[in-house]
Amino acid sequence: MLIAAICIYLGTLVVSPDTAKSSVVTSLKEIQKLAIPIVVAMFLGGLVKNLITRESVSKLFGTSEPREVLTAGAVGSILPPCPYTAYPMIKGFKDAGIRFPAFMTMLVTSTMVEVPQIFAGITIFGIAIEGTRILFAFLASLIIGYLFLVYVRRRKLSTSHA
Amino acid sequence: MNRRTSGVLCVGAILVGSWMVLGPLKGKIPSLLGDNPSVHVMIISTIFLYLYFSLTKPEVAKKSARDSLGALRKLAIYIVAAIFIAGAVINLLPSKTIAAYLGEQAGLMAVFVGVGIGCILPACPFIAYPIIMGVYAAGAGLLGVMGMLFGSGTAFACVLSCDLTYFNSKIMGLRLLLSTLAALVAGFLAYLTMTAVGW
Repeated sequence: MLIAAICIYLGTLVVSPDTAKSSVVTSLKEIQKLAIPIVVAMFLGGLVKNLITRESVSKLFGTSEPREVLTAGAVGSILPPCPYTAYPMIKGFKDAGIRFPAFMTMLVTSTMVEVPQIFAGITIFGIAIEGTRILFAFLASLIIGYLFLVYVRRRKLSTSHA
Repeated sequence: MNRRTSGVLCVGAILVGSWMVLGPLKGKIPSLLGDNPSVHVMIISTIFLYLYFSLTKPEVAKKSARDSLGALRKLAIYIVAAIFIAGAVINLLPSKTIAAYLGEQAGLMAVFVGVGIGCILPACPFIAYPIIMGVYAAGAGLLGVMGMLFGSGTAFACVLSCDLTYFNSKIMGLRLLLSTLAALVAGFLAYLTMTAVGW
């Protein structure tokens, strides 16, 4: 990221100094506008990360597979966006015995829905775009999760018939 | 002080704080807090949530503040770099090209292109979102932006390395496939909705 930024600016400076200058001005204005909201969003994200634990959500899982997919989708959505934090928790759920379709749904929602990103999203895009993102990402992840559940069940059936 | 009293005090403080700033300004937010009222509410809520937890669960508040400061120290330079890249994107990319592939007239193709671009962006929203915002400001349409947001970070190196570290290559491949499909379905749903409501 750093190297890319430096290369872009050096290249632009050589080819078109005016564009480089206006890019710096645009970026500085953005930094001035976003500095405080980004810091605050990170603090709020830090708090959410410490409040959501595997123990606090594991009691929500039911026994039926469709409900397990739904719960896994919801739990995956509220996990922290950073994979280094979310993946150990997902592995914990997998080790605790959630079934494969629910586990995959949790993985998909944890990388796609990422509700704790809401603070970054609101800061940069506003609540309308961020709300739309979360709504459609969640719906689509659940659709894919349920289709995967159907696929796994059919495959199990065909294997048992064979 | 018990939890209920602290909660009531903090909710009261949030309401008073919001009224004191939002009321007199009638929606005109000071530039340092951004020009978005929801950001302003988020700032006030954060201050009072930390206040609440420092009264009721001081260890959670301390750990959260420590984690946030750590993340901020680690990410600050990348966030600044991302904002500078976004600034360059706004000024460098020809708006005609962006409009052709990611603009309103690109229709459903904007979703596919957006998901493709989003996939390779960093997983951290504080780094990826300013870049997406840069493309938006340079002339992309809402559908293209939504596509980028849906795909954001799904195939970034740190997510792939976590797939391999905690699980295996089969799970990684399956997750990539399902996530990409989900991003495309989400984009398609957004396309249908936006077309229907004329957003």
